[in-house]
Amino acid sequence: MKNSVFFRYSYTIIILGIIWHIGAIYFGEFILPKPLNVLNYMFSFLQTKEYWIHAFSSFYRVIIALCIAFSIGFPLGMYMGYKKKFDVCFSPFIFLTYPIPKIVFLPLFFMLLGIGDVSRILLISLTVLYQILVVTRASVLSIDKKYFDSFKSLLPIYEENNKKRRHFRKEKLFHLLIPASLPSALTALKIASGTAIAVLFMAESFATQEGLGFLIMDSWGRGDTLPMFSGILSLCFFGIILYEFCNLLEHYFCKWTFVLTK
Amino acid sequence: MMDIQNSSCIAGINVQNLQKHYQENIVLNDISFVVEAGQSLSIIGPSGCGKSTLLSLLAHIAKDYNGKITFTTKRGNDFFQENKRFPRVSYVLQDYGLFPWKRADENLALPLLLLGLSKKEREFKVNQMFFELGLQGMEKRFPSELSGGQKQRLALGRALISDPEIILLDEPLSSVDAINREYLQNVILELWKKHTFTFVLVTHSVSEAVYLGKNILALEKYSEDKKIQYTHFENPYFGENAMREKPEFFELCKKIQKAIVL
Repeated sequence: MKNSVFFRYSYTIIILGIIWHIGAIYFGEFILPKPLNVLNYMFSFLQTKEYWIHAFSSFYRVIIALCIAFSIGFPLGMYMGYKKKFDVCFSPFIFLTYPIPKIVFLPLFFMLLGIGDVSRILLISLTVLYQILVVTRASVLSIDKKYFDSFKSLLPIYEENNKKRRHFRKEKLFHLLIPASLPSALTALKIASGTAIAVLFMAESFATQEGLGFLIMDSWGRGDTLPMFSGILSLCFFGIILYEFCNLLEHYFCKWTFVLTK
Repeated sequence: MMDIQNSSCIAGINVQNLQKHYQENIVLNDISFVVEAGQSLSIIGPSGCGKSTLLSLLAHIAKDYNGKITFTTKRGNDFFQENKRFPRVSYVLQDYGLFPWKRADENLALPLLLLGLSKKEREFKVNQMFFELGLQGMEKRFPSELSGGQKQRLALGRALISDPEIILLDEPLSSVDAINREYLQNVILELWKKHTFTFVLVTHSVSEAVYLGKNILALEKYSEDKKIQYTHFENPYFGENAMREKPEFFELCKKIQKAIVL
């Protein structure tokens, strides 16, 4: 399994590298530097403190933002999918504001929260929160009714009078709702991690001196293509790491979805 | 949590003038029957005649009905009617209702968890049940890795593990092939002989209804011109081992077949 992932990544990287190299010869070094030159530059750049400041600030902005988005979006989406009354009141707000590109509020965020990491992180969170919330809500709504019946049929009945029947809310949450909706939520997180990096780039492209987005825009402005492409490559790599991390989470928490594909 | 002092008693079912309708449509009309404690009832009839509805009413999954469902109790050799006590009822749903995200042993342990048993007690009972079902070695498999017959046995085990007085089976063998079918019918019968419980079985197959039913209820779809929706049969040969070879068995099957067709 691990070998095949490694194999898939390495042959894609080689093919893309060849295309890039041909492109670099065609367009010239000033527009598109050769991949080996970029790698060479990156190798020495990796040893500077400056690179790691950029990389670390981008990394932690996205990670914190994804954590916030998931820890709000997943429970909220689950609650909306489960409680009809709440859903009726709340979902119009979600679906009305869902199509708005949240990135356009960047100036507003800066004005309200100051030019700093808080506004950037919250902007990323807000964007990906919607993706996680909407998918989780839909997945709870699509849980087969038979699982609810099945769960109900397992509950011990203490008295004919239903008032005294214990409510097994916690058990229902942990044995039914969370496991049933987690696979879709993690897929949503996977997609959201890509979006998060896109928004990060926008949010970092001005009013900051740190982050890979700044590095790319700054070196572009100076016409310095080697650090610019180092930044682009780093963001690529960062995206792959996040994606694979989500895969690992899926394999760990949703083992049952993989048994048939074995 | 579990009523220990009640575990020696068995419950019978007493249904009087039961009527159930969804909005305007009458599904069940004026149904009365008695199942003595420790006996069995098979319900047979065409699709949509209200068989499953009847079961879910007995299981207290569906509510809102007219008429009376009461339970009789047999403790030792004494019979008595108790309105306050609600018997322990287990329900095996049509397509098993096993949770795909839980391994076989976790599926079996869930009813015990809901009853509040400790981890040690749960493990002990689960191991015992795997042994009894002949499913040793399957503990860590997910339901999707089990064959139809194994899933069926697991679902039976899940119903049986909480030591119920009444087990309701909704077309338990509908998706099992013919060879496994007879084997699983014997499994049900053996479990019944060993554990003494009352069971109600819904089925499409006449021979299954006769083989597993002390009482047989042939149900028809409700229509306004036919006032009586069901015919009741008794099966004096119920529980005999070589029943399938007896000519009386075929006689009874034929009789019921006629009642359904007419």
